[in-house]
Amino acid sequence: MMPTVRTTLPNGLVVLLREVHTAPVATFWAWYRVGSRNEVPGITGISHWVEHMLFKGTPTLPKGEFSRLVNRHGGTWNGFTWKDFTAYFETLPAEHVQLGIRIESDRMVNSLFEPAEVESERTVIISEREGAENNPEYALYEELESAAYRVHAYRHAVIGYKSDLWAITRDDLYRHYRTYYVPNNAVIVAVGDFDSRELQRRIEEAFGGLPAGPAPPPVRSVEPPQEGERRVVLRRAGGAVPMLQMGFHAPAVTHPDFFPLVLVDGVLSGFKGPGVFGGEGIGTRSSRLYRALVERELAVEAGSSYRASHDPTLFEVGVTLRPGVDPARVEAAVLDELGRMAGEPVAPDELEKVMKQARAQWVYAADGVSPQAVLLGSMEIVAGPEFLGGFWDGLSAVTPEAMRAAAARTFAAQNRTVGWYFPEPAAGGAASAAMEEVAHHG
Amino acid sequence: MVEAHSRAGAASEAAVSVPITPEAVERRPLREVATVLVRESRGTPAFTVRGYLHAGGIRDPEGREGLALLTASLLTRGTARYTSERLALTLDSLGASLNVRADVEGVSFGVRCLAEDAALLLDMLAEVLIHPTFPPAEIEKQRAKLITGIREARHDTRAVADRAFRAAAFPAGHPYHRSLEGEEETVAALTRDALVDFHRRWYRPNGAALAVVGDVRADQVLARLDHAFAAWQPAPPDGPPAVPAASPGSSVQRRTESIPGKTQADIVLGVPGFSRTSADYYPAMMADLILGRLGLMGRLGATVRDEEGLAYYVYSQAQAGVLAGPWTVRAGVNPKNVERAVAGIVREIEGLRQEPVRGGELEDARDYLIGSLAVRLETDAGIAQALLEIELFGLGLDYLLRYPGLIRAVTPEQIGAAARRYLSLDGYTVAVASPA
Repeated sequence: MMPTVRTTLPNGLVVLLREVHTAPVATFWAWYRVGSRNEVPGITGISHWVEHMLFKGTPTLPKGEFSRLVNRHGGTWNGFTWKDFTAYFETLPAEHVQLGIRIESDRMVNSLFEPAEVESERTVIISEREGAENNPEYALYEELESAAYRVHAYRHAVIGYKSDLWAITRDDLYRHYRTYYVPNNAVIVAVGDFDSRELQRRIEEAFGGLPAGPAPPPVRSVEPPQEGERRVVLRRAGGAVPMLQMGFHAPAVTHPDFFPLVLVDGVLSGFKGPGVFGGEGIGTRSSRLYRALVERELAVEAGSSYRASHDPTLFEVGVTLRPGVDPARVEAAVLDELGRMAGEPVAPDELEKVMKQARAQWVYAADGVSPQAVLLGSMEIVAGPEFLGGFWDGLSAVTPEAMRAAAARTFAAQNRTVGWYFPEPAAGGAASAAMEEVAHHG
Repeated sequence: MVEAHSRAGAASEAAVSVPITPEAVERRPLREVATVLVRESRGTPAFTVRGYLHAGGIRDPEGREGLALLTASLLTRGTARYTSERLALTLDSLGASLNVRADVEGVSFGVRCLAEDAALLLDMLAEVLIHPTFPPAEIEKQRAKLITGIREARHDTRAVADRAFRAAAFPAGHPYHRSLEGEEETVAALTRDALVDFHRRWYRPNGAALAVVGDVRADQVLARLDHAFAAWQPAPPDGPPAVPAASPGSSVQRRTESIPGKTQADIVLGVPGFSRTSADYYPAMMADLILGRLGLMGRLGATVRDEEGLAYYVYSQAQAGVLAGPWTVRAGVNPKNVERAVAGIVREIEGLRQEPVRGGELEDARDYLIGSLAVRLETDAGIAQALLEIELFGLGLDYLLRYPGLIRAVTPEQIGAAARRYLSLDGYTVAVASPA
């Protein structure tokens, strides 16, 4: 990838610019260090709701104008909220990148939060949540996270609890906005066909005069060590086959076990890509979980996930069962594979395979300006400015023994939360009989 | 051999502002009846192939729904030279993907790999398309996956509403009326012989297209393809399959399904739409943009979502392929708001018929379509997809140069006429899948 220029304006705004001249396009992003990790019970989902309100207009750009103007100039736009951050972008023909600067510098400080707009958006967001609730996999994941974490805010979903979504007020939203939407809590990222010095000048012109705010409050809660297996079972109608999810407490991106565990994830279900959100779907079918579960006809899908995060997170495993398969056999097969990772170092050729996947994902992630901006912005926030520069050294230094040791620490039984979804009405006695057997594993 | 080469080779294209022109693309026949298009690209050392052939669900014999889908899923599960396991390990060891997937109208296939592995992946693609072996054990694994998917779809409100819509809006025997996935019984009854026979009949080069984009040399790609696909046998030419005519009904049709364990209702409201080659494709596509796509989901987003707060998603979508596919509005709402949402959608369709463009909508749609070419063609995959569309619909390699003129020529009257022609207020179908 091309080099990135990183500067910090006097008001604390971090600016990351990367010139890429392969196509006449540019993408402009505003990232904020706020997400569901900054929320407490009673206001869960507020970061995501604030994100929606930032499309509702400012005194100079009425609602609907952001999207209309961007489309008018041949661009695409969106916003999204994650546990560790909230982000907005405009991807445009390069000559119109100024439009991104105008929109983001305006709504960083001038968003309106009109009470009527807050109310109409309340039901839109509840509708978003209800759409997700229709999916048993989502419902099980919500149960799994809330059981795995007792203390840290990663325990609740980004969308928030429905009771909070009914209760949050306009003033709550506006306070959250004013607290976190300050230049000293933001990162601007632009990637594309522009001249960095010229763009830097225009960014300074638009954002330089915005006053810094008080430093947003730090997240205080620290998840205590887990001291024994936790289990959750979700039984409801609405699904066809049982699903298994497991979560193991795993370290934040800054921990020395991060790179070994990224490669462990790659061995288990294919290397996902260098960023928070993964890359192209490759490497699955020869991976250990696929071979142990899908090839042996226990499951129709099997995967794992470990992504870079600001605070300690979960290493996750997910399996969709084949109809009629004994759930206990599936759980035992997953634990066998994790036990193998913890018990014996991977062979050199297996590690080499995953490293080639990593190299390919790195190349694929450079096809298009937006994936590059996502990588730059998200990693600046979760991992800091030095991280991407050291990514390859960090990955290349991992030994099979380091992977084994990290897997042994992570996949310990007392560190495990197991979640099962069983469709109701129950498929007969098989599921409950299986659960009795499963209970002896822990 | 195809080999990666450095940036220096591509300088001659500097003057061209769109990535697809007659000069920038090599277009050649393959096995006389298929077509290859190659666009060299020096952005990243990657290699991308997108291809298409006429072996979709439209070819399923009556009562054997799911055959096209199951056949496509087996191509990468064992060939003359590779067992399923060996194929997977080879691809995974290269960080590459090779996919074959059936849709209603056709089969899409694709390759993604590092440029250094392009030659091997072209060989593997040919192997997979021409020499699959359909191992019985692999058939059973894919069959189980397909049947599980069918069962899961019965619990999925969006899938159930879509299925009910298509079954009511399209006549019996129409590919969009039938199920691509099939039913449990039809899939359970598919034999290995049926898969082998389906492959032999329809995985032929006739009318197939391959678009190749990457950091490779076009002459090397073409030579490699000629060699790799030498055994691909053309079939005697025949016409496209007969498809019953689809048009709006004589009355509004309503279908309601109830699914236990759900919170939200999903709505699909629409009509049989227009094909990619129909004379009013451009005005109808712009009507669709104005109705439910532009900005925050067009007029539908502005009223049903933004003003009324009824739905997180409400948008329109016209599937214009070889066939006239569904032109629908889709929304997810709380069950108590279904009637309000349907009324709001019908109101916006009525508004579009009467007043096809308001304010700056025509300019918005026009400028978006022309201006967004750069963004749509920014990646190798975007260029490959556009090449494929140009080839399949006979648009010509100068299409992107002509495109702004085609869009600018569309008038408000044409947009209104297209909306009135397709979006019938007396003959639409609405399907709702609600919590039981």
